[in-house]
Parts: sequence; structure tokens; C-alpha cells
Amino acid sequence: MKLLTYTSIVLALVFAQTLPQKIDVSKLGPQVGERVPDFSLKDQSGKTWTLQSIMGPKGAWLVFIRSADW
Amino acid sequence: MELQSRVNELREKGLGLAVISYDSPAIMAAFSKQHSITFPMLSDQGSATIKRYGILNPVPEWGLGSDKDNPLVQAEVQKYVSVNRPRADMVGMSFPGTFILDRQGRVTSRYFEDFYFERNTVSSIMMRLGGKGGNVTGTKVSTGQLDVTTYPSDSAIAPGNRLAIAFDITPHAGMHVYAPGAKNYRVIALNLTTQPFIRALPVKYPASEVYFFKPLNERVPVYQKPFTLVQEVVFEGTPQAQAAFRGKESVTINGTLEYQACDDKICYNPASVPLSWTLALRPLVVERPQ
Repeated sequence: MKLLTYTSIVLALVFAQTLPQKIDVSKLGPQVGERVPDFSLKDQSGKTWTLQSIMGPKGAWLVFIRSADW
Repeated sequence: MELQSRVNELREKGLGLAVISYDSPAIMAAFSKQHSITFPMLSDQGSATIKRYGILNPVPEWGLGSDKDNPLVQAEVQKYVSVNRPRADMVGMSFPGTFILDRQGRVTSRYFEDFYFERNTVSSIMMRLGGKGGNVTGTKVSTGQLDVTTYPSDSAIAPGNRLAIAFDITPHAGMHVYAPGAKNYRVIALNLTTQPFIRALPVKYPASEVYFFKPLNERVPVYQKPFTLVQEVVFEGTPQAQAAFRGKESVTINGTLEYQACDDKICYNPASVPLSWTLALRPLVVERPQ
């Protein structure tokens, strides 16, 4: 019984993430005043960057694009 | 890419810049070479960072899955993915948008668009952050009570662009104009003539000050020092809008600045200053970022 409950909770969580629903992009991701997650990613020449290393003296613009390919 | 042309300006302001997408390093390298990009374009292949930020676009997956005929899914596909059907290689992409961060990585402002084909121009974001926009020459008009210089953030726009129009207003010495909240006076306002597929968003007003008018024992919110109003304008990017803009070389937006000005002796009649802006139209590069 416990296992069954657990399974249904897990299933509910999985579906909560993937079930189609109306999207409001203004509510997605870090909001004003919140700190954004750190990252470690390679750039076009193979150099690794983190949140700290992209920073200028006063902060940074972090721009997400759909794709550079299409 | 519009961002590349503003790299120096960001650096002068002490701001770093990076772009992130789910593309492979090879695609980033090819794009950077083709467009002479000098800032880091970070490859988040597998979308782990995009997911951690909570901005993964789930709609391509919905549009390819068993719910693809659900009207809600079809509407979200049109809005956030493509006017065509989603492709399998779109799964994993992020919603496009910009976070402006302070030195500690906290968000000071963010710009995410409601439709995938709408983009805030970089210049319009700068203008809204209090900068000068894209160095477009302004038009100056003087009335008996104030000077106004108005300029758009961009001189050329494409369907889907969101731009900003700034109004630098200087009341003449001793003069004040009325700010939102003033009763019995005409509050300063912008009134753009409506036209199909061009939308004006609500004007952003700066903080006003309280003016005490002793003869009437009246306290009213006003502007007396130079101030700036910013009007955001959306050129819609829907297929219908693109069809309407196709073949046109420019678009003219007309509008008026409405205000009432008084000094400590005379209250002038409400006034209306006609203004117009002509913007060159660039064709929309379909399904290309920025």
C-alpha cells in the first residue's frame, strides 16, 4: 500500500512537469531580487565559463537564445 | 547579431555578457565565426543549465507527443515554438530572454517575451534601464512651457521587435507639469495613434514630487526638473502582421504629448504636441535568434 502511494506520488510529480498547461513566461526562472544558479559551460572556442567569470565590475547580461543554428 | 554591436557599450558600463543556448560547441563556433562574435556563446548541450534556471521550453515536446492535437497544445506551439509544427531538434531549447544581474548574480531586471517571434531590441532594454538607446537623433520641440526631445531606441526595426521611444522633457524655469495622481489638472500622457499590428504598452512614469500651491492650500504630484518618459511599442510578428509589413520600407508612428503646465501665478490651458517617428523596416529573418 505504501509502495503504491509512493508510486502514485512519483507519477503525479512526473506528470505535473510534463502535462500541457498554459505558460506564463514572466513567472518562469529566477525573478527580480533572486540569485541565479551557477553554471560551468564551454564557449565557442572551448573555454569554460562560470557565473563568476562572465561578471564585469558591475554585473552582467545573461542572454538565453533559442538556437544559433536555425 | 544585434548584441555584438553593443558589446563595447556594455563593457563601458562595467557589464559582462554571455549568451547561452542548447546548441553544440561546433554550432556556436560556426555562428560566432559567421557573425564575428567576440563575447562568449555558451553551449548547454543537454540543457542542464536551462533546466536548472527553470526556463526550458516544454512546448516542442508537447507538440510532438500524444497531446499534439489538444487545442491548448496547438495554441502554445503557435505562441512559443513555431507557426509550423515543432521539430524533434527543438526539444531542449530554452525560452528566449535576458537576465540583467548585479555583481552577486542577483536579477536586477529581466526581459522575457510573450511570443517566440517577439524580441526586445538591445537598445530598447538599455533605454528602459536609463541609458540612451541606440544613438538615434532626436526631434526637439519647444512650447511656451517646456522642451521635449524624443527619439526611438532603434532607427530600423523588424516585425516582432519591441522597441522604446524616449521623451526627455524639460519644464521651463518656474514651470511644472502634472504627474499621475494629480486631480483637476491634465496629467502628462502620451497618446499614440493606433494602427494595425503596432501596439503601445503603458507608459513608464518616473517618481514625481509634491508641489505645494499655497493660495489653494493644495498639494499636487508634479514634475519640475527634467525627466524622461519611456513608451514601449511592439511591432507584432504574427504571420498576419508580417504579411501587412511585407514590401514596406518604413513605418510612421504618429502621436501626441498631452500635458498641462502651470507656474506659481498662471495655469496654462491643457496642450497637445503632435509628434511622429519614422522607422525603417527590416525583413524578419524567420526562426533566427535576436
